[in-house]
Amino acid sequence: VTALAFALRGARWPYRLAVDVLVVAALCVVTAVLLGSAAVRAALPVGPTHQLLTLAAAAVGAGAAILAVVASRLLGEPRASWVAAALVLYCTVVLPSTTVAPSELDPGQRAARLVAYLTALVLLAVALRPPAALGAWGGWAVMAVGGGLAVGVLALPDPAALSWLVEGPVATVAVLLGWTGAAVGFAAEGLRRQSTARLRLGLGLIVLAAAQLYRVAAAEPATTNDLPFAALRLEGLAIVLVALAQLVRTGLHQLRADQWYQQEELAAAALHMERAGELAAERDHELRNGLAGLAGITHLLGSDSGDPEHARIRRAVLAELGRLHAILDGADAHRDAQDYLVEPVLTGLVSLRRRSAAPVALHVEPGTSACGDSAVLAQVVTNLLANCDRHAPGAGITVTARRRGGEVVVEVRDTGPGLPPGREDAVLERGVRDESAGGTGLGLHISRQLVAREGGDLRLRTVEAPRGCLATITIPAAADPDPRGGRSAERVGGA
Amino acid sequence: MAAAPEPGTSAVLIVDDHELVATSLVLSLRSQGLAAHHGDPRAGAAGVLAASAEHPPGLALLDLDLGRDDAGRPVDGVPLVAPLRAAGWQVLILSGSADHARIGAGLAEGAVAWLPKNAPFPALLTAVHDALAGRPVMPRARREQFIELHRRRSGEHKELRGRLERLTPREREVLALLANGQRAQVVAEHFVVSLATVRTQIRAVLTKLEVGSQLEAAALYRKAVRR
Repeated sequence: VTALAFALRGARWPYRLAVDVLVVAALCVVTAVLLGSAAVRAALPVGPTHQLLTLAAAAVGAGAAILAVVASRLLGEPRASWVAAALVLYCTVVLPSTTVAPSELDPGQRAARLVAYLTALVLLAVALRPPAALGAWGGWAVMAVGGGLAVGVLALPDPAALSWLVEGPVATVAVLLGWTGAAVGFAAEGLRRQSTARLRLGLGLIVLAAAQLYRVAAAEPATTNDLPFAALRLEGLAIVLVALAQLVRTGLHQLRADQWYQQEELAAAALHMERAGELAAERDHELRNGLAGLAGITHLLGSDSGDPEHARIRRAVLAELGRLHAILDGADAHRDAQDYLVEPVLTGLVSLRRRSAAPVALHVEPGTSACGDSAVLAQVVTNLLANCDRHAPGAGITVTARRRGGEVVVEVRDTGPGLPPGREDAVLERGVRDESAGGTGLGLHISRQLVAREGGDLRLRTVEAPRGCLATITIPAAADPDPRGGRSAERVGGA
Repeated sequence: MAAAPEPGTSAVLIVDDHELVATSLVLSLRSQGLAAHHGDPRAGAAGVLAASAEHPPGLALLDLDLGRDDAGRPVDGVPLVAPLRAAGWQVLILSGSADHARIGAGLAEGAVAWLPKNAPFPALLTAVHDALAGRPVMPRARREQFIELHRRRSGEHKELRGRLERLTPREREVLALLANGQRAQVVAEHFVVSLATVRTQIRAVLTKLEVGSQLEAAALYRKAVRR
C-alpha cells in the first residue's frame, strides 16, 4: 500500500506542477493584457484603482509575513523567518514608495528606497540557505540594519552625491536580476523537495519579479498609473500568501501527528507500568502465601520438642519470616522507636547460622540495649553475614556488640581477603558489586540506608592481624540502659 | 487458646490454593480437635462447593485469590461467599490481598470478617476459635469501612460502565484495542479503514467519555472492565 501511494504521489507531482505553472502564467498574461488594454483603462478610474491594488498588496504582504513567522516556528525552519523579514521590509518601505511617481522623489529618498529594496533582496537570497549560526533571528537583525541604513541615507546632508547610484539602469537591472534569481532559487528548492507549498512560494516571487520587469519594460513616465504592475504585484504576493498558508497547514498537521504519536507512546508506557504492577502484585501474593505457609509449618514443627536449641531456632525462623513479611508490606517505612536488648536479636541470627558451614562467634556486652527497630538491626546483620559468606566463604566470623557513649556499636568481622583497596566507600554505593562473587550489589547500599534511617551509620574497612573485613554498625543506644524486655526480636508478623 | 467446640459437629473448611498454607492450617486445627478439611479450588468454584457439601456446615476460611483452575482461568473467591453462606457456612476471609475494596466485596456478600494472611499463626488459630464461638473477630467499624470502600468502588465502576455505554459498538471495539496497547495504525489495519477514520473515532470516544487524552480513555476502559 505504501509503495503504491508513493508511486501515485510520484505520478501526481509532475501533473500538479504543470497545472500550477500554467495557471499562474495564464493569470499573469490575462492580467497584463486586460489591464494594459485601452478599453479597460478607459472604463476604470485609474488613480484610485492603483491605490486600491497597492493597499491590498500591502495587506496581503503583511498577512504573508505573519504566516511566514508562524510557519518558521511550527516547522522549525529558519528560512521562513528570513522570508518574513524580507516581506516586512518590502511592504513597509518599498511598496508605499511606488504610490509616488519617481520623478517626485529626491535622490536621497530614492537611494533610501533602493537600500531597503536591496536589503529585502539580500534577505531573500540568504533565506535560500540561511546560515545556521544566525538562526531564525538573523533575518530580523539584517532587516533592522537595512532599515537603519535606509533612514541613514535619508538623513545624509548631501543626498545629491548619491544620484550616480540611483540614476541610470544599473541599480534597476541589479535588483531585477537579483530578485529573479532568488525567486527561481525558491522554485527550484520546491521542485527538489517535491513540495507544492515551496514551489508556490517560488512562483509568487517570480510573479513579483515579472511585475517589476513589466514596469521597467513599459517605462511609462506616469508610474502611478501603472495598473498591470500593481495587479501583478498583488497576484504575486497573494500566491506567496497561499504558499505560506499551506506551509502553516503542513506544520499544524505535523504537530498533530506528533501529538498522536506521543499519546500513543504514553499510553503504551502506562500499559506497561500497569502490567508490571499487576505482575508485582501477583508475585507479592505468591510470596505472602509462601511466607504464611512457612510460618504455619514452623509453628507446627517442633513446637513440643522441649529442646531449648530447637525452640530458639524456631523463634529465629519465625522472626525472619515476620521480617520478610514486613518487607513485603512495605512496613519498614517507620515504626515508633523502641528500646530493645541487642543480645536476643544477634543470638537468634547467629543460632540460625550455626548449622551452616561458617562458625560465628558472638560477644555481646551484657545489658546492651539500643533504641529503634530491632528488625532493622536484624536485617542489616543478616545482610552483612550473607556478605561475609559471599566474599570470604568459610572464613571465621566474629560478631560483637557493646555500648559506647550514646551509641551501640555492633561489629561484624571476618577473616577473609578484605575490601578492594581504595573502594571502602564505593562498596556502599548502589549497584557496586564484585563480579566474581555474585550478588546484586544492593545489599550493602540498602543496609546503610536502613541504618541511616534509624539515625545510625554503617562503615566497612579492611583490618589486619588477621586480615579481614570489619563492618561497624552504630545505632542510637537506649536512654535507659536496662529496658524491661528484649522480646521484640521474636515478633512474628506485622499484623 | 479457646477450648475447641465439640469435635466433628462443625467442620472447618480451608479454601486456599496454596498447599503449604492450607496444610499447616488443617494440621494445626486438627491438632486442636477441630474437623478441618481442605477445599481445593483447583477444580474451580463448583469443585469447592461440592467439597463443602461433603461436610456438615461450619466455618469456611476463604482466600480471595484462588489461583487458576484446571482450565487456566483465575478463580475468584468473592462469588463463593454467597453460595457458602446459603449452604449454612460461616465465612471468614483469609487473604493476603492488600485490596481492601475487594475484601469489602467479600464482606458485603456476607463474610463475617477478614483475617490478614500475614497475621501471626497463633492469632489466626485464635480467630478461628473466636469465629466458631460466635465472638467478633473484626471490629464492626472496620468491617463497615471495608464494605463502604467496596460500595464506593462499585459505584465508580457503574459510572464508568455508564460512560462506556455511550459509545457505538465500533468505538468500543476501537477503544478495547487501544486499551490493549494497540496503536491507531494497527487498529486501522485491523478494521481495514484509514488512519484518519480511526483518529476521528478516537476523538469521538474522548468526547463521549469526557476525557482529555487517549491515555485516560484507555485507563478508564481497563478500570471499567476489571473485576
